[in-house]
Amino acid sequence: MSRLSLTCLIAVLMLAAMPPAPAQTKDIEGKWELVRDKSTDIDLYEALAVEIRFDGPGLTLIWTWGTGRSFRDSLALPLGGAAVHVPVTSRVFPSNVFMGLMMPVGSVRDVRAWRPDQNTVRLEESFRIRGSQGEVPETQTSVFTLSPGGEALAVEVTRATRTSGPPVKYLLKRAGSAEGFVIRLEDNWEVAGKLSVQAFMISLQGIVNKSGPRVYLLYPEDWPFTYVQSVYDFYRAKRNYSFRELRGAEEAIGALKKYVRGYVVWDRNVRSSLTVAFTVAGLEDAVVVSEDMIPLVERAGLKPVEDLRGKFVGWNDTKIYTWAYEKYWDRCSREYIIWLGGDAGPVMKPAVADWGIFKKCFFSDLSCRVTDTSEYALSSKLLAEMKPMSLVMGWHSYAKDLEREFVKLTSAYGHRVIGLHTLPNLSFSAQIPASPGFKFTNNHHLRPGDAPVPGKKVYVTCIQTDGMGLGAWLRPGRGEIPYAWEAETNYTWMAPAMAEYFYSMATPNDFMIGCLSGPGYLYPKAVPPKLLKQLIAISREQMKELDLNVFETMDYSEGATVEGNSDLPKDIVDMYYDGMPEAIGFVNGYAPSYTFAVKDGRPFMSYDYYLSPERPEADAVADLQELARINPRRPYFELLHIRESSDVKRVKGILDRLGPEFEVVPLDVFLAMAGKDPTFKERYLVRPQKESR
Amino acid sequence: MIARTLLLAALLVPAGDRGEATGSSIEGVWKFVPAKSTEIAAWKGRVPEIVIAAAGDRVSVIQNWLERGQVAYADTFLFAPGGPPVSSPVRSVEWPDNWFMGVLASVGDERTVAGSWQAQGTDLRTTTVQPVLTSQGKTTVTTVREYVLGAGGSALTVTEQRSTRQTPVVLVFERKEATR
Repeated sequence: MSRLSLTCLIAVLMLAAMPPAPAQTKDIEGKWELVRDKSTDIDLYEALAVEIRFDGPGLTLIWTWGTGRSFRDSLALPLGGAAVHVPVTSRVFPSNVFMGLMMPVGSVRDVRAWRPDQNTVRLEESFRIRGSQGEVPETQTSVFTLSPGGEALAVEVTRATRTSGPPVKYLLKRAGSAEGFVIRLEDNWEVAGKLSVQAFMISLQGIVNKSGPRVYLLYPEDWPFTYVQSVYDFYRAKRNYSFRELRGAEEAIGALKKYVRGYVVWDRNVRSSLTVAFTVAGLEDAVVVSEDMIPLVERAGLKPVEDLRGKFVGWNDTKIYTWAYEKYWDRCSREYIIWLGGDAGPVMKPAVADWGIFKKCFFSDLSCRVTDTSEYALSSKLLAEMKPMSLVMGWHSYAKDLEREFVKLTSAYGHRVIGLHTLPNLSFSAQIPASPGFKFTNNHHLRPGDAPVPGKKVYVTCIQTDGMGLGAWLRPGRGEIPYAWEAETNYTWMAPAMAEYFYSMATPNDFMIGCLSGPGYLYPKAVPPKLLKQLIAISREQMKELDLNVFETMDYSEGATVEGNSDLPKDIVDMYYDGMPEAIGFVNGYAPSYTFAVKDGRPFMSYDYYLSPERPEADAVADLQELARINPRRPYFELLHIRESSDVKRVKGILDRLGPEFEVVPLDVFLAMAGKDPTFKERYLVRPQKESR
Repeated sequence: MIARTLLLAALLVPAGDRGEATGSSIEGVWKFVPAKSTEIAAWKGRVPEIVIAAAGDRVSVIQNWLERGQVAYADTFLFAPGGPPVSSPVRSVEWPDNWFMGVLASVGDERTVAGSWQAQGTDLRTTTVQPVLTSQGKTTVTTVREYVLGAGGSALTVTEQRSTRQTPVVLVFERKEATR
């Protein structure tokens, strides 16, 4: 397949995976409603709606102040500035009822309208207004301006008598758009506790969001994905979302039952029955409930579609998931599958289940450990029946196998993992496009043609694990030192507004990189080579869209750094070089790794240090200084991998103590210098030669 | 490596396990006390354990790395105190002195170990010369370790000074009770 045709295929696949954009005109015409958080306070009426219509040369403009108790001001005006005399029939001065001002009934307003361009309407009014000391003349100008993407309408009002204080500004969004519900989840995930309520809410979210981005869940403050509240604020502040809070399961099902077709009962005595129930939920649009919640959903008029109580007692997971496979697999997605692992035993944290329901996924937490023969066989069977390069969402079970065993098996089928089981609100975020016209711009520190020359120093640069979500993005210190962040490149199509959230917050010191070995987490040594080439091509396209030029690989398919090897052979390194010609460099590993190469000034470098979150600062300083003595040539390029639980403040505290020989530089500058003066030794994983017969 | 360690351990059984008096010698099995030690950046929660034994003119120092109570890696030094350095081939890439630094043991090369009593039975100093691989290639690291018995004979302090590190690594152990 030629590169062009492959690129086209990728583009088609990416487009096909995107949710349909909501139909939306970009014209200033239409009905608009107030975004209160971003508008001047309207005292009594609180709310404002504006309707704009053009009829040939004329304009109809209707202000509606308030909702239940409201005041309507409807104007039909010619465009071009001709004055229209409007009789005053009500004394209400609607924008400021709490001021002692009234319109003199029987007087006349002179109103003129213009449309200076397609996106602007200007209104000028002359009228009399009465205060406690009598009537005075007043003039008021209202300018209506459509936002560049057509999502919002800004209204700025000036009056001759109001010359102090902040300007009067209203921001309006299209009526009926960007409205949702928010539900706060309790911090109780015990199977024997309130997991049933959280699972119910998550299933409700996944079902309701099939008809649009309607439900956002607020997880507890210490949720592994730290951004839940911050993204919620972002949607409200930057994307003009308004949310109505639903308190408790009763209120939630009452408000949203029209989207739900039934319920599925899981068995508190068999934890895996909840995992199966999530599969049923996605296929049948059925909320998951424990036995004690049945009266609640019955009161809402819902009927049972599946009852798993008592069905799986005494069964092992292979038998349970085989039963689910036989009954439901045919109807499940072949492009997405959920591994609802992670926290195990008495606790489950199934945040990703909303996405699995949204995508009609099969759920399991099967082991991927070879020695768990029956579960491993079923895992393999499921993965083999998925389309190549599918997305395995969620995480492995902490009680059954290791991350590396899980990712090795998924990689063997060319699939890619997007973690974790705690990934929240994806069914909502997947449907929010980036702001119109938003361009993803990385904070490059090199301009075209720049070729920084390294000195006789130790250059240090830092990369943070899981930059988008688990990492220290919202914790202290970000922006104080050059820092690179692993970016989830699938957000280009999977959650573009989330990508915008991160990009729009980035400081000049925050540099994004692509990861992890492909478009999703995979181990390249385990992936069939033909698929690896295609996966790298997808990553390349995603990196272009996100303005990324550094890519990161990691491979624990042959064990971790210490007792296995995380190195890559030359043929795989070359695949990345060939498949990503725009990349200025590559980084490899998690803990230290030992693959190093350089090609045309583009280095492929492994981590020389892993900063454990438990490592005391003084010891970390000594480690970094010791590495600089063990590696005596200058420049020495010391590449650091920072675990997500270390915040930037802590890292800066360590780097500040290294001494004058050390210099912390941005990753792109680091790689450019390393490519120019590669003092590291080229090293690949060398496979033992097979003996010839 | 583990099999070899077990063989050595069988040949050089610590005095403590032979039921002899243990309070006056560093011989014995020593359990790590992390609260009193330099943080060791352990890999996967591995915990060090030291086994010191003497037989005739030879001493063995075995540093086990225990994972869930089982020996996952063993680093063995066998030498005659006061004698010439003893060479042994490097068979594993693991460099247990620090798991999170980009340093590998150089498999196929030889490392040397020498040792001497600073105080007979209670203060042992060893010197190892270890070839290692780093991102810039091969180099050697010389490590001086001093094993000192504490007052009362129940504590062992190991001070490691690497040629490449400005500050020492101090590990404190307590005597492990005989299991028989």
